[in-house]
Amino acid sequence: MRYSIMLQLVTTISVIFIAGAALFAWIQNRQIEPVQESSNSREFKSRIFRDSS
Amino acid sequence: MRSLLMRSPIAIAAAWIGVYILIVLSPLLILLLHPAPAGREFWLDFSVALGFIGLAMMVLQFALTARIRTIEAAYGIDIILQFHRYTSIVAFLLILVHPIILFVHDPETLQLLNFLEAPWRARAAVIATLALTLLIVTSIWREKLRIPYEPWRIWHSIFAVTAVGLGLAHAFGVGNYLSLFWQGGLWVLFGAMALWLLIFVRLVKPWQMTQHPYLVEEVVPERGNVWTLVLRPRGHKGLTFQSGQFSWLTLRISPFRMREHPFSMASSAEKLDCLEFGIKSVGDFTSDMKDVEPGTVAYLDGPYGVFTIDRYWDSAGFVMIAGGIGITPVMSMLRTAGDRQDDRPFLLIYASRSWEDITYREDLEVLKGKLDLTLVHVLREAPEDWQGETGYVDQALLERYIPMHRGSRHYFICAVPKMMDQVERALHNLDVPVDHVHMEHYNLV
Repeated sequence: MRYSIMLQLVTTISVIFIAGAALFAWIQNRQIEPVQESSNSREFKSRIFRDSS
Repeated sequence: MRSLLMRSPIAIAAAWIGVYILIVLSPLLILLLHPAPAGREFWLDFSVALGFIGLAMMVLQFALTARIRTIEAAYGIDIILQFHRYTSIVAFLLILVHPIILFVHDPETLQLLNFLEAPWRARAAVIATLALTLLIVTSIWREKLRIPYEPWRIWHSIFAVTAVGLGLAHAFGVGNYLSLFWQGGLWVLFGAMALWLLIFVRLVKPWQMTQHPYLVEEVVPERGNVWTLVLRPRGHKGLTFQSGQFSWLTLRISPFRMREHPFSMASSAEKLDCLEFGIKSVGDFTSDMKDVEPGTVAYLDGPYGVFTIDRYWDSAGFVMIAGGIGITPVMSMLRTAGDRQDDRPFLLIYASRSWEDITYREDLEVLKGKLDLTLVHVLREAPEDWQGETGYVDQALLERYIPMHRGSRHYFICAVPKMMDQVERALHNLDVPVDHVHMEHYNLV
């Protein structure tokens, strides 16, 4: 039974590793959309710079 | 929280598993701190990640087999070695899948298998994979291939060092991500750790053993083709151990030759000046035990193991189930309890082939006078006038003897694997709490 529990444990660990590898590959290759600056954000930035100056 | 981690064996064991997962995934976690390089593809990165994980798992095998006491104390060495076996197979499969993904994704990479024309980093990978394949095959099928233990152990180390050494060389040669400072640094650290563990196991530990030699005092024949090897420490106090633990024994030769064998101490943990090992004559090494002369030099690496009543001082009593030579650690626990005048009840269910084969039969009768010990002999070949138990230790037999309040005792099983599995299953069916059942597999390799 102990070895059966361990087999389940090693299986779980293996799944974590494979899922981790897939997640890593996905994160490294995900397409990041360039952020479009909205008029609101431009206005917000201009306020910050104006207030700080 | 600190108290829980210090006291709960399950919390400690779970913490070590967390550390293991974190170390194996650390190469990928570190890479996520860097900006992702452009022009790569999912399958390429997936393949590289599997390679990193497989290699990190292989490096950690050196730690699993280095007999590090803090790790071993959390599980027991037989559990760690079984974990080592399972995770080696997983690492092997991940390492195999790593190039297969590349070959499928980009068939031109198959040219890397052309050993004569391929770059050295690809040749290193091929040799490392071959070494790993041989390591796995000779380990899983060692008995079927009839490879004796001692040469197997030497080749096992050679294959492991070749696989990990050339695997690391391949990783650095390809330079996938390893040009990044922290990633390169991490793998240098992994390599240094593996090298240090190798030096520790091969040089430091044997040197420590030479500083604490023992001399064989006598070899006493016992019932059941068993020999008691009596050792006395020479020039030191002797081994401090918990009853039921075992040591790796080197006899006649230098410990640097790494030809050692695991045996349980059979003597009391209260007698440090005289160690006894119960050794059954079954293999190449053990069959020569009767010829060992008094005065022969011996070395010990130990103690190891968590198969001991010493960890359960608040238990109301103990149930011990032994088969054949599995009596050895049980004898140590009973003798120690006798010397400590332990007043708790002990039940020993002891399976043997015949009445004449019962190892330590007379010693057990003596212990009945010193302890609250109930002794149940189970014989497979009983004499005609035998009134006791016969056959195998099964659920019905256990139910007749174990206490009604199952959780009031801790249960220790030591026998051949088949009997241990049957008894463990029977105890489970009888509602014995899982964490109250303790086992020791004495065929470690």
